[in-house]
Amino acid sequence: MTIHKILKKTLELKDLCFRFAKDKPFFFKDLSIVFDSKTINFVRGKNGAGKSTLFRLLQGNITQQEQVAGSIQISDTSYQLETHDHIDGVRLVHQKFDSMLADQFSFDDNMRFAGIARYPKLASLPDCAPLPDFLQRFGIDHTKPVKLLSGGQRQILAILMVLQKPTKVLLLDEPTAALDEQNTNMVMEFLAELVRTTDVIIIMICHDKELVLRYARDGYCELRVDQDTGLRSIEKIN
Amino acid sequence: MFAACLIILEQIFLYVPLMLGAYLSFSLMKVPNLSIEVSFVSGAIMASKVLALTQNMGIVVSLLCACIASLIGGAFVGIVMGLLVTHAKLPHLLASILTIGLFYGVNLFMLGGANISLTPFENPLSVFALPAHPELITLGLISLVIFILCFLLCKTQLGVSFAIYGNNPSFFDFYNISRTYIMSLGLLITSMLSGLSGYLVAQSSSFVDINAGTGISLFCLTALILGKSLIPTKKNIAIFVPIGGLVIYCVIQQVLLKVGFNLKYFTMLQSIIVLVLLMIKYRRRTVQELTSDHLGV
Repeated sequence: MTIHKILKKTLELKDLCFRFAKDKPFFFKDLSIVFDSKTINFVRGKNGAGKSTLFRLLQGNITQQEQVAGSIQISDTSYQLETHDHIDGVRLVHQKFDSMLADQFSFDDNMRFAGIARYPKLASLPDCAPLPDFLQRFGIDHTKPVKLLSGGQRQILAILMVLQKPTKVLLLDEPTAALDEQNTNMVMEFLAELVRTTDVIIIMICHDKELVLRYARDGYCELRVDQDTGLRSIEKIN
Repeated sequence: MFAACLIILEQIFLYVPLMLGAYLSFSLMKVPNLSIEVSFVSGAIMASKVLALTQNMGIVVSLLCACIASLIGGAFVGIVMGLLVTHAKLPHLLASILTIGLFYGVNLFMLGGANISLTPFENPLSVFALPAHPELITLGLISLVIFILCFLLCKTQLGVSFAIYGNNPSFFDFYNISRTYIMSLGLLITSMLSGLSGYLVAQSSSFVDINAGTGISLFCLTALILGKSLIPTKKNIAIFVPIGGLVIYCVIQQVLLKVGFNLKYFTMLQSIIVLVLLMIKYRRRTVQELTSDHLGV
């Protein structure tokens, strides 16, 4: 008899210290936080609170003049930020998701394009990974050009395209900011299903407090700026 | 009538490589690669140099070497254009204009004059010892090979990447695909094909002229727009559109010649054809479509 044990995957950010240059004040200092799979991890914060910088650091995207210390542990693998380690499997879906799509081509074409090699070969296009069963419920036409799909459907496509490559952590930068209520609900329903059926850790920046409260099962994270020191801190709000 | 058909066929075969190159650059990648005007001449010059060297090696070797040399001659232009766009970060149009200026001088130096004759050399296009139209058969075979290769290329990851580039160049940045690689190869292939056509035209007319490439950008645009406007497009066989456009173009040219039209005014007529077709097409277009497709092809 096989015992299936569902383990939560985690991303643990430990003692993150960051400043943009040696002579600049600290932006983050001793910042630690844990993000889980099996829930949507919301990050809120005002403009300039450091949400985008946090996402950039989570991808290991650090420039030469920036000063950084701390570590990121994704499940069993640990990455030291000061050594500028490449962090595997962290993927970002941008706020302007339309720029991630070839909108004159169909849904299926786009899915296959996402798997093209870094240096495209003289070989046929790669097959796309099997699509999740629950996708049917969103009524996406797989044959017509993507530009004719709704905003929510295009956002779902952008997420699925990013997931074509092995993904441990999915970063979503305000995925519902440009969407109306109906499309927002569609995307959130899709993300909820994704959380339920995969072990990808989903971290999502969102300004809509009502939406956060509706979908954040175990609370959300709030980035704050200390007005005196300019230091950013993160707080888990349940 | 039969003679006119043969002329049309020859014209089509001569320009098939050029049209496919222009289709790749103008239609798929949406890049205004005007440097095809100089790669056309560079290919012809390089092939003429190789022809002189391979005169005693047999006609088959001579033909193969001349075709390869013309591809290489065109490739030089493509490489320079690619470097200007990808490394010097120049806009496509500016890079094209600079490449034209640069290679006009290089071509003039290589050619050693305004034109040279190819009549002292054996004509490699008559490689098949046939009683009638041996040149036409050779040109047809070369065109067919190039067409099949381009058709197969369009089915590959690389070929599809050219079309994605034309739709959304920033697409590649999000999926760790090298945009520089795609851009460089696209320009390279276009210039190589233009170089091959340059040689075929030069061999067919038995001389290489420094100004042979002048106006071929407009010729390509006219044929592409004719093809796109008059031939129903299906995604799987879109590569037939530039060939269809070329056929229509050559037929129009011959018909005009037959009715006594002076071909020195044909460039003006090309512009009028492009203008009329685009005006009809643009009336139905949204502002968004207009900004995303600068060339109308």
